[in-house]
Amino acid sequence: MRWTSPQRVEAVPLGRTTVDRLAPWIIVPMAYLATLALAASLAAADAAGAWQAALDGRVTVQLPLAGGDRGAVVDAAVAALEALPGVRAARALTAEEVTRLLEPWLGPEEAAALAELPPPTLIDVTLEAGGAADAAVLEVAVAEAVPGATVAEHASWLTPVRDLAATVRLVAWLVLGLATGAAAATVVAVTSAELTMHRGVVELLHALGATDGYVAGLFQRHALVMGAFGGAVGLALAVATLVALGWATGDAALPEVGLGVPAWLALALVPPAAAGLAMLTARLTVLKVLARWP
Amino acid sequence: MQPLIQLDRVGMRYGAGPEVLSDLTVSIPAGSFHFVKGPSGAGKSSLLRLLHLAYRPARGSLTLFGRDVSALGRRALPPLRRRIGMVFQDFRLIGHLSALDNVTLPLRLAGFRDDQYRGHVVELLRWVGLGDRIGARPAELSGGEQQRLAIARAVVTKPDLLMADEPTGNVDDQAGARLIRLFEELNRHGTTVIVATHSGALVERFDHPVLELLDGRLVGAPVPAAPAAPDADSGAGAAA
Repeated sequence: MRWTSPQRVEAVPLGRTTVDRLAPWIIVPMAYLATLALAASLAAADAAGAWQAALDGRVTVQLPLAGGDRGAVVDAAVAALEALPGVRAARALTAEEVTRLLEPWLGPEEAAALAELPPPTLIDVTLEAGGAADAAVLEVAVAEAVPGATVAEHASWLTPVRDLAATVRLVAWLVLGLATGAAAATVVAVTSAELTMHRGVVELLHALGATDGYVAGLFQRHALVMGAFGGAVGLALAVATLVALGWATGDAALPEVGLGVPAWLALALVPPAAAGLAMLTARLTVLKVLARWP
Repeated sequence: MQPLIQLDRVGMRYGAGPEVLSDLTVSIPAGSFHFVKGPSGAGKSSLLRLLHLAYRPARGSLTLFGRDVSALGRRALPPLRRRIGMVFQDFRLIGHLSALDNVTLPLRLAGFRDDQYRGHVVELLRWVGLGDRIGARPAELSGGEQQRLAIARAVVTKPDLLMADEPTGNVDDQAGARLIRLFEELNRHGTTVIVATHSGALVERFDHPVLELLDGRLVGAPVPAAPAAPDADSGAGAAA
C-alpha cells in the first residue's frame, strides 16, 4: 500500500501549468531591478554620508603660486589661520599628498608628471564644531597674511553632490517601488488565473468544509516559494552585476562609492522580502476573489 | 423534536436568473431517509446544493442543524458543511490524488492529523470494496469504483446528513439497489439521508418518504412517514 503524506500532496495542483512554471521567472527580473535599485540607493546614501563626515568642518586654503620663500609664506598663512578663534588645526599638505589627491582623477602617470611642476600649495583647515570661524572670516585673515590666498569651502560643492545623491536615491526608490508593484501585479494575475483554473477543486474543498483561509493558505504557500525563488535568482544576478561593475570601474572612478556590510545584508533581505510580498499578495487576492463567490 | 432541516417558503435562483426553486416548505427530521424525486430539470440538484450550503435561499428561510443559515456569513458555513456528506452526481474526485488521499481530504480539512485517521480510512475503503485500490488515482478506477470512493469520502467524517445526487444514474438496477441499502445501513446508525433520483422504479422498491419536485416546486400528497431512527421520534415524518 502506498501512503501519500498529506503534507506532500496538496488538493489544488498548483505549479503544474505553463503560467505556474513561468511565474517565478517573471519575478526574477523584478527582483534583479529591485536589488540594483536598492544597492544604488544604499551606495548613494553611504557615499553622501561618507563625504559629509569627511568634509564637515573642513576648509581648504589655496596659496598663490608666487616665487620667493614658499616655506615662509606657508608658515605665515598657517600662523594666521591658527590664530583665529574657532580654528582647531591648520596644516599644509605635502607635495606627495597633493599628487595623491590628483591620482584618482588624472591617473598615476599624469599625476606624477604634474608633480614635476610647482604644485599648488594647499592648507587643510579643521574648524571647531559650532565655532566662530567660517570661510569668510578665514579668507579675510589669510589674505592679510598672504595676499591672493583663496578659501574653498567644501560645503559649497558638497551641496550639489549631496543633491545628486538624493536624486539617485529618489530614482532608486522609484525603481524599487515600480519593481515591487510589478511583482505584486504578477502575483495577483497568476493567482487569479490559478484560482479560475482550479475553481472546480476549490469549490469542492469548500463543499467539504474548507475555510477561505485554508484555500488561501494553499495559494500563499505556492506564492511564497515562487517569490523566494524569483528573489534569490534576481539577487544572485544583481550581485554578479554589482561585482562585475565594481571590477570594471575599479576604485578609481568613484573612490567613496561602495557598499558596506550593512548594505550587503540589506540586499540579502530581497529574497525573503519577495517571498513575503508574494505570499501576502496571493493571500489577499484569494480572499478577495473568494468573497465574491456564492 | 427539532427537525434537522426546515425550509419555509424557500425560493432559490442562480445569480440574477429566474427562480429554480419556489415556495419550498418542508421539514425533515433527524435520522430520516428521504428520496427527492423528479424529472430532469425539476430542481433536485438545486435543492441538494441549497441544503449543502453551496447557495443560499433568495427568499424564505432555511434552518439546518437548528440554525437559520439563510443569512449566515461565509465564515459560519464551513463547520456546518463538515457535518454534511455529499455524493455528487459526477463524483467530483480530485484526479491527482490517490483514492486514500481523496477520502482523507475531509478529515484533513476538519483538522485531524494523519495518524489519527489512517486506520479508520483504510478500514472504510475496505468496507466499500476498495481495500486493494488505495493508491489508485480516480482515472485508474472503474465508474463503480469511483462512485464507491465518492461515497467513502462523503461518509468518512460520519456526517449528520448524507446527500446523494443521482447515485444510481450510472449503474444497473441491482447495483443501484445495493447502493441504497448501503445508505440505509448508514441511516440505521443515525445519519439522515437524502437521495435525489429521477428513477420512480428505484423509489418504489424502498419504503422511504418521497419529496417530489416538478418545475422547482414540491408537488403531491404528504409523503409517508419516515422510519424511526435511533434518536428520532417514532413516527416523525416530513410534511410538504
